[in-house]
Amino acid sequence: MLTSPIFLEQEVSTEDGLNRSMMRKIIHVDMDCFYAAVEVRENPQLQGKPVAVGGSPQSRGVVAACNYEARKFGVHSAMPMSRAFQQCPNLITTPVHMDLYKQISGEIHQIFQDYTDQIEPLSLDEAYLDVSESSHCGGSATLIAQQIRERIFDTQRLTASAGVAPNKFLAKVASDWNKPNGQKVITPDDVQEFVKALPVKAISGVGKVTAKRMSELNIETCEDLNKMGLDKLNQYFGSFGEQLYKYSQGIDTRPVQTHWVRKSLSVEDTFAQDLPDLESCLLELAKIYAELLVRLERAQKKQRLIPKALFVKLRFDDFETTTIQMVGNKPDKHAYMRLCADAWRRGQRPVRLIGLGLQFNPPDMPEQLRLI
Amino acid sequence: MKLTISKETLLDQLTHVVGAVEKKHTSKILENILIQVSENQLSLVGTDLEIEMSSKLDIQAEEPGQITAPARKLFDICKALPADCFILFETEGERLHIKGLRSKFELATLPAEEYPLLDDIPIQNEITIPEKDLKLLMEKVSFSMANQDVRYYLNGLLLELSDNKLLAVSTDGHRLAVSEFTVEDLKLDSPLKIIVPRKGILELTRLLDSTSEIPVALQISDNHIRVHKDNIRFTSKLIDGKYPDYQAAIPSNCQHNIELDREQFRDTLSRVAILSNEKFRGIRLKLQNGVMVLHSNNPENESAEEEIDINYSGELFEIGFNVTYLLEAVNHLEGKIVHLELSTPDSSALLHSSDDLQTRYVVMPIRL
Repeated sequence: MLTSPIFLEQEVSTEDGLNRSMMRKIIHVDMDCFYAAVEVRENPQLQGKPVAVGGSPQSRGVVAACNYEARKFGVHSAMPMSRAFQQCPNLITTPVHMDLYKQISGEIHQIFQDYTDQIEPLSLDEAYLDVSESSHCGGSATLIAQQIRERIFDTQRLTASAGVAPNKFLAKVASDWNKPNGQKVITPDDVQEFVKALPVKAISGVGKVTAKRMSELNIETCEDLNKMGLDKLNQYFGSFGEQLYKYSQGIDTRPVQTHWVRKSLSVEDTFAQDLPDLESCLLELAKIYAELLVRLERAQKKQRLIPKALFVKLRFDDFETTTIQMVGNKPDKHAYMRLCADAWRRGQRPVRLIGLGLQFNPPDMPEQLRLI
Repeated sequence: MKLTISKETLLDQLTHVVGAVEKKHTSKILENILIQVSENQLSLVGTDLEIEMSSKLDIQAEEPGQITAPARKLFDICKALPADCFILFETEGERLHIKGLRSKFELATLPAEEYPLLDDIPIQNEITIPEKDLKLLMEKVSFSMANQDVRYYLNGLLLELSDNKLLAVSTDGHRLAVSEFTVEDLKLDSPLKIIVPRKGILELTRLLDSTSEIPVALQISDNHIRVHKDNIRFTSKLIDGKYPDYQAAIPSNCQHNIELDREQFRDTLSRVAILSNEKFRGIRLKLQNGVMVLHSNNPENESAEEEIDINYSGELFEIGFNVTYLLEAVNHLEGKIVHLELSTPDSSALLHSSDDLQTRYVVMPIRL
């Protein structure tokens, strides 16, 4: 029998043998349709109209972000722009202004810094904040979240939503709860009740495929997940099972990671025209490879990166996607060419997208010296 | 096609033939094996386009014919049928019926004409070597082969044939294994180097018997290697590539030569390994006057420490290793005493045994 697991997980054992019960306070801040909102702010005449940010449909671009007016028509991010126009003929599109988003994101980050230095940015528009040690607002995470959102709106004229909870998993679920421009607090006392009724789809990491499998097993809520038991979850969901079981009890011990660790690096390109055969793929591969080297060099300036695998991703004209990878400790053009040829043979069709990438060893890995 | 055969006879052959076939393949026929029946012979073939396993059995068939059927399913069915049972195979249109006692199965098939078979192979060299010695040679070396490495020539085993000598080498870039076997009467115009792919080596090892003294023939062409054993014929393509200079990777004149009781060293390593980092498997060896201290710890801050008395005198010497690499080397050496030769914490270690002079293992350290 697990009693009050939310307390057990937080027990920190100190060297003198004392146990200190430490409840964390995590805020997940999520900007509301960030890119699209910035575009509307810059062009007020777009206000109230469906807007999508992304590449043009002629060059086969995809939607990078869209506002709520566009979402009403079923437009969503990563959708091909041509599809988006079919769904919403009045859609207004704007190109991506990444430099501007980065600048605004940096300014918002400065606001976070006033409350804590325990910040884990997930992307330009999302971050976890650990405010357990913060003395602002009388130590109330709820008030801190409120204040951060107000300050973002006052300085940027952009709205943000926030979730406040004892861990990252619940904070992320909560920020989605009253979106847009809202916030939700899950106190430690609420956790058990809240999690019970939580649909599994709300768990990050449970996508369409996993949700469907769960549905086949009659798992709809976290309570159902919990009843399954750890052994069954391990059996059905492999390495994800243990994490699911913890989530189903509202437990998540992952710390807010202030130092971002790069696990992989990749460069991909979607072509304006499909590449008809393997030869044309290999020609394009050379350009992508050159770009990969540039990005690797840039990334290596920021942290120590030791490659462990090389991979190639191909998307064929029927949208079938295949990835192939091999062990390797440095980028190698010929190896990529061989992988590309092997991947191409799986489909033997015109190719729409090529991606080249590297996976890295964790940075705490001791350095294995090489013989040859 | 129609024939009856005893379960055990068939299973003996199927085990090896099925080993060549990939479990999942984008081309469905490559998940199948080829079954060919003439009036007095049953032939089975499995392939993944890189290796081929074929078997020929003398039988009395009721009706000749040929077909391909799913390898894995066929094998699982035959294995699961009761012992001493006779199995009837019969084709009906595009279906293959399998019957045994009161069991009946019906499998989907694909046409035999579409099954890819290796072309004739012009054999240029042939050497014979007792079966058990060939198996042992491969076992001593194969564990260091790379797996799915972009340096494709490392995903296999180097066989080097020269006068009176067969030498096997493998390396994954972090460690290296080399072992040789004396083949009397072996005369070659020039030394021969071939790289046999990983899967071929593993299947060939599985095929050979570790107790049999019967000589088997290794037949080698420019692009293939072939071995006959009883009713089974194993063929593998060779990897076309240049193997790294393994001799340059074997250290000589090491500064320290530590003598260790093999079993004691092995058991100590296994115990210390328990609390090493599960992913990286790093352990620390400390040499000080008369004693080696082995130490491990993991991210949970648990730790293990052991001591072994050794013949060392000098300054404190510390070096880190992936404990799996050391264990595998020590496990594959024969004899009571092993030698661990070391020079600096950044240079390779050599492991060997005076009872097993043909075999040497090289392991690169890790920086802890």
